[in-house]
Amino acid sequence: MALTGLQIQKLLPATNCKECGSNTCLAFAMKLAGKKAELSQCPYASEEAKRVLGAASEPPVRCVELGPERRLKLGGEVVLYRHEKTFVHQTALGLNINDTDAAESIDATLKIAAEYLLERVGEKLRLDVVAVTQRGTDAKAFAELAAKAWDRTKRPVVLRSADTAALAAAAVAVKGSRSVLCAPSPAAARELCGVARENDHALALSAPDLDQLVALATEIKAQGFNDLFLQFPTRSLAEQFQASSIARRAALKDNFKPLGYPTLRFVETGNLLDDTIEVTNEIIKYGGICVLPAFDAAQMASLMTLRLNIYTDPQKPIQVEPKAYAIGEPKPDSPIFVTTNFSLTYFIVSGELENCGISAWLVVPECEGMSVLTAWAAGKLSGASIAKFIKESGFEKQVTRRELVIPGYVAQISGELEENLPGWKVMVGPQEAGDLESFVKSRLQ
Amino acid sequence: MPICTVKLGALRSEGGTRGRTYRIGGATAMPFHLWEGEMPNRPLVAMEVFDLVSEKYPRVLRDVYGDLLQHPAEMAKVCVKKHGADLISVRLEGTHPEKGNRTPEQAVELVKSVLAAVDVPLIVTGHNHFDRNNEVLKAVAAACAGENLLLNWVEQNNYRTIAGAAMGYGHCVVSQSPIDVNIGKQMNILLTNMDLKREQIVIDSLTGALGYGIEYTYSVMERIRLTGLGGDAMLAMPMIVSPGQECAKIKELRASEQDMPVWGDLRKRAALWELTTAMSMLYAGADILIMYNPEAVAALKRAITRLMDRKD
Repeated sequence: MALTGLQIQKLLPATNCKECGSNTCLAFAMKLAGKKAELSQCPYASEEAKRVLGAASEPPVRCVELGPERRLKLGGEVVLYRHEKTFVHQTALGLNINDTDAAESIDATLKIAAEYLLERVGEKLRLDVVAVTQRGTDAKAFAELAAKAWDRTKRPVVLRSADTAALAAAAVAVKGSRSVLCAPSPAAARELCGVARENDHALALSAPDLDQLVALATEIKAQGFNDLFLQFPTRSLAEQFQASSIARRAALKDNFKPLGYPTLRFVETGNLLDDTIEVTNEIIKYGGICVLPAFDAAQMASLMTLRLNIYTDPQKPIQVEPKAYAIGEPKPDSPIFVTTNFSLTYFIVSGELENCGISAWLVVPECEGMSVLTAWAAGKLSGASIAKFIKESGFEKQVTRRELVIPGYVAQISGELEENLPGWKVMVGPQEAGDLESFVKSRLQ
Repeated sequence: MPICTVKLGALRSEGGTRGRTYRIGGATAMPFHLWEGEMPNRPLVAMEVFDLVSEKYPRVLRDVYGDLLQHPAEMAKVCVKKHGADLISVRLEGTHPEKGNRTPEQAVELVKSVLAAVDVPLIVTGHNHFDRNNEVLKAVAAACAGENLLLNWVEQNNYRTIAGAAMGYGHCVVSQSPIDVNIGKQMNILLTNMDLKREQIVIDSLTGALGYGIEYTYSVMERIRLTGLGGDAMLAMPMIVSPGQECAKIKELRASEQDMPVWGDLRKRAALWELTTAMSMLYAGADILIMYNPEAVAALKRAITRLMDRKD
């Protein structure tokens, strides 16, 4: 449970030494409570303070870190619904290879795993893990393939086999990668726990039912090993949805630690659209690592986009880069529209303009990610600010047209804008983006 | 508080001509949380036909439907019989004065022909030219009195005429709000103040396509549903979304694989983009999803079955 500032203050030295950067211990305690400071900033914190605050700040879903320099983080979640705060660590997506696959197919998949890159709204979206499954009988070949996967992709490897000895050999082969060993049973998990610890990997647990999974997680944690993933014993989409939902709620609302770990799931329905449904379920409903059986560019583009959308922090309006955006293939004399850099506003306006079938410029000045009326009210969208942007960005020199269309909601700034932009005419557009098409037809054509 | 139950369509014995009717809503828990509550009515998948196909309707979907697009009643039949649509939306965009200027009489004739072609309940979808839209939906409502159509849509600045027609002629309405919980609630207060029953209202909080602000809609829908279940009667209505229409607008349904190799095959992408958009809305609480892509429809229906019947 989170502690209040006053509760934290009682654990601090009460010397007001200011070495932490705050004027008083109380001020520092308030910052700690608001997660705006860390206890390590206090050089005199007692062992008890560290213990109590450490336990209180332990997230209800453990954050497990994988990969070189522990860069890939899973779990650490604090809410059931993204609007309550935000989802923190996005579902890790990966592709599977089997030891029985043809060599060319393996090479091709590893190349994609390493090089896949989708750019969207300025974000670079990539694959996070690669899975290696043993379907054959040669443990040595499996370990070699695991080493190859790690070497080629430099991503954590999800190792899956029914053979504990093969998993142990592969764990050694990919030491340094902080990968995941998928234990096929509780007995295997007990056996592999030491191997995972010695080789610095995480362990994914599985059990015949949820109760046994809980018992197993409790047991392994009691042995001091806590870098765990849960594989739910589910046979259908509905069961997976239910298990994930119940586990997340138990971890968050009841602080039930045995279910407070990120999950791991292999998707393999044999149908591209049904696989997509399964992965959608993982992305939306709390999935940790999700492994796909094969690569399809169209599928991956939609899933990466969904993941980007769901894991966007709702507390920060996403902004688009302030600039003059080209709609279609605009020329220097094409129509010019103005809106704000709040991403939703930008998407709606640019979408409607594209829908008009015209080529145009959409000028988006810096408005700190606010919508039109909010930006206007906050003084971020004014005649002066638009004029300044058009001049300083060089846009004025780029075009020959001297007519701007501004959003209907800020009609009142047109006079100020014309004053600040000598030689330009300002036209008041519609209030709603949905009316742009009519506006373009009746006023611009 | 359970989500309000809304009935769609009317049988002959009830004053309509439908061969089947549906109920939506009635849930006492978040979508598919069947272990802690009830979801007595499954989400429905609608498909859409057009009085006039927009020139911007994407090629990839034209290739799917071909000539059928010009024959809405025939297309409705195919959507129901072949693609498994639970209900049909008739989009009357062509009555917009700037997009075809078709008359209210033509709109009525078209809706009647679709009613004759299929026996499922209909959604009648208008446009944003308030005056003409009101005239058209009122004429349709009157001519189809008793059919219990779902009149799509009313909004804050334009609701009286259509809501009045729904009350007068026995239909339901879609109450639209711009991705905003408060306006959504305000809208339903305005409608119920007119004496429209809660059981006649379906909420549309406006969808964006995947990649185009869907996260806002997603969270607004979750908040509406949670608030409704929490006891706010003015938000405890079923919800409708339009993934088909939204996806048809975007460049992901147009760019070729040659131009955008990282986006993959266009035909597959069209189905997957619409499916993924729809899936997120389904989890957020959608009770009716209006779809365009038959492959996405089939997959979405499988997902609904798997989540409702709890087996694969």
